[in-house]
Amino acid sequence: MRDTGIFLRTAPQVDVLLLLEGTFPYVSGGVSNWVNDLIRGFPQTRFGAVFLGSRRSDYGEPRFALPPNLLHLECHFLHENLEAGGDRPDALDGDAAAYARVRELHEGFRREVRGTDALESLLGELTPLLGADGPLSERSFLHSREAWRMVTESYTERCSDPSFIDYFWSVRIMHAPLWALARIARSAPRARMLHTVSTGYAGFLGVLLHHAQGRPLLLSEHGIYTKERKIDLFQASWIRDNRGVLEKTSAQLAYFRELWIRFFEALGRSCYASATHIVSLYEANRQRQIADGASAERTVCIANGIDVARFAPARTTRQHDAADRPPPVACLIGRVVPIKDVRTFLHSIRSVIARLPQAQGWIAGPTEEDPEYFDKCRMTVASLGLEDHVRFLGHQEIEALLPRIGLVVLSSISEALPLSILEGFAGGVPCVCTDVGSCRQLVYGLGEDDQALGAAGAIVRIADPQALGEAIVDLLESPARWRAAQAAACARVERDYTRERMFARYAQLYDSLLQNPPPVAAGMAAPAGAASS
Amino acid sequence: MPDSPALHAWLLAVLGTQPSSTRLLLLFLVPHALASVLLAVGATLVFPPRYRIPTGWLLAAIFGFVFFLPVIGPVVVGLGALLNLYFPSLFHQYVFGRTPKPTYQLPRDRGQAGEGGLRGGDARARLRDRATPVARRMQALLTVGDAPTRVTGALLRELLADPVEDMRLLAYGMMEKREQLVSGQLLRQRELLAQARSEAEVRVAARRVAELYWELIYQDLVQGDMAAYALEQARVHAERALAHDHSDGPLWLLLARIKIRQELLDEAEEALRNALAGGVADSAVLPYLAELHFLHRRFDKVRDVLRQMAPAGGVLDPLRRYWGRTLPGAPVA
Repeated sequence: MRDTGIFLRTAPQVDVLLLLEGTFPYVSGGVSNWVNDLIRGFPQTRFGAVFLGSRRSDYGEPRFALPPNLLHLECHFLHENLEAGGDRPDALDGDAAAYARVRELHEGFRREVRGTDALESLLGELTPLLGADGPLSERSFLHSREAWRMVTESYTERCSDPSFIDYFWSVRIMHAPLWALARIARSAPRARMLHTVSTGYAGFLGVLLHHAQGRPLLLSEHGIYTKERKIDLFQASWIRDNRGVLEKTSAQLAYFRELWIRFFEALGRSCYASATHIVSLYEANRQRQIADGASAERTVCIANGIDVARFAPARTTRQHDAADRPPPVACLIGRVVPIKDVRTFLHSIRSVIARLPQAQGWIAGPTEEDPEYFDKCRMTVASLGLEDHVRFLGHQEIEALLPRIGLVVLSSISEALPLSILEGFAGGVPCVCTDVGSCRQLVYGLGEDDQALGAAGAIVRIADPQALGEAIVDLLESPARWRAAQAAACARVERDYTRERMFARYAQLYDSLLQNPPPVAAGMAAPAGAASS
Repeated sequence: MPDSPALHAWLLAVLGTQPSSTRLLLLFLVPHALASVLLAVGATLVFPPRYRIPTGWLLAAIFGFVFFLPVIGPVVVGLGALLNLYFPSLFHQYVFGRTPKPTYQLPRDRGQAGEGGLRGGDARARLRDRATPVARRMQALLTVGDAPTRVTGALLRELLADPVEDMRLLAYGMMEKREQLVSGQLLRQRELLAQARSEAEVRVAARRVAELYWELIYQDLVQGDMAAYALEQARVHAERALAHDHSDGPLWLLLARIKIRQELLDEAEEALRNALAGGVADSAVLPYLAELHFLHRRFDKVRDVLRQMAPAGGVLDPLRRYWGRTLPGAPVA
């Protein structure tokens, strides 16, 4: 029996259907907070949400109280029950024409064909065929001769790894969730518009729903999903490389690593092709989206915004010493996961206490997402003799935390526009962070007017604990510099990163898509009111 | 001209009472010629060395200049000679100077399909050339990535600040993987050490912990304060293991290397002596002993130690040859 999902709330129709992968409501963090704020920021809008996760056991109970205008919430776990149970089915011939079109689609992805219309057209043609009895059904993919022929031809023509068995199972495993998504799309509530918060599997679900329901798709990317998967895949040790000593060339990635990277790139391009508007948080990410296949005219930047008034009172309850030095506490606010590079932060604390023996390093963020990494971090603390200086606080109420810390620190190897920095700024706390994402523009400003506000902290390069530690000490030890950084931080967040500003931009987008949806493309399903496919 | 009877007598003897024009001319020219010769010789001696050859032609040139330009010539040559004596920098060519560091100029990429297997130098040059297409730089990074971190560490750290994010992330992934390999083992060994009960278990575990901390240093996986901490931990655990087994020669050698890094030179020397006593071969110990003497600036002892080493090929042979040549008459080993 396949997983049919968990339905926490149900409604047959909503205004905006949010598509969420690994975030709200099960995972704490910046994106989840953003989703929660978004739903509550439009109380008159009827929201629905589809949550996609890996396995049920990876998530506990929801971390957020569900907003009253979230009328529908269903949760699916894509890596459960992947294997077809029951009797072994008879072999099928398969639909040669349909698989020929699939080959065209793959070729388009491989050649990184520009021109989203062609891709959109192919996706519009193929996605309805993923149905249970369609020419590209899961049963056809697993058991038809045409599918077998396509896999073996692809292996012969392209695979540089000698193991066909690994190739075969890699292809099966990576595509298997797509039929689960097709089933979810068939039973999802009707929506006036779709809003996905990432590409990847959630983005592809958006593609399926867009073609099935004929409704516009809005994509808001916080990080760049494809880039983050690349990071994971570069470091993954489970990917096999069966090349022998004579075949292996260090100038090429292992084939299966490339195959997975290309798969996620293809999911990303599909979502870009189908989305009416593609939102990024800052210009560099927008350029990245264009480089990854998004049509430039569909892209727009909308920076994150926070409720500044909520955090401002923290500025007046700060605990400075007689010389106006801030608390000697550097606090990493974020999940304990590899992308946050918590270990570099821990190494930097060793540098910090060499100069500032009373300093502390706190990590305020959930530790359950990657237990193995959290264990490594704890053991790193022990191996560095930092037990008296480092504390893992778990999830914290930020407003209560900010008056007790001297600096917000981010040692991430990749970020977009970190909400933790904005929240720190609003609470009057400067930051030291790595030169990733939009951190440089947050700390030093973008453009003359913004730069004139001054530096709201310091920037160092990634994986440099020595520089990170020195920057932390420089700020904590200099009350004048710290105060100047605080002033710049407060001014910058109040001017450019308020929630009101962000909501105003999203209100425009929602209005344009809800009131004036783009015309349905030929061959696509009719809009709301038609029966589900 | 002084009014002297002797001079008058001399002039009368030379010129006679009715001197001819020829005689008058000769009276001027002969001393003038003699003076010109002397001035030419003097000027030649103070000329910069590179202008003195060929000497004969130089003498002839100065003589001619001075002889045929009676007033101007000697004044100019005299001035030149004085300038050269008191302001030599105006004329001398110094053998030492500044020259810019040579850089490898990579032929501009023409977008041709890349080949695999770049040589190390090509790969490094390509990595540093930010005008090269990203795909080829990634290929170059994968090529150098297989080399040990003690060889590639500095380059990988440079790439952590690369403007292209994919390059940064790939470099980070490579460094992180290597650091994790060592750190993972280190964490496990520390746990074993914490659980060790018998002397033998403590000795074995402490030894391994010391080796792994040293590996972080040797592979250039830690810098700055972290490196200092790792070095200190390596020392502490090595000494702890040696407290249980004083005869562990290889561990004494490791301790010596640690103490050299920590600039505890006298203690390092004692550790090297213990290493020898513990059975470590001369060939393994002598290079470090030579390094110690060098750090103490006892250069004669550096020579003595290096002379004791037999030729073995590798990086030390050029050192042996160099130090063997530095005494006059010393044979080339």
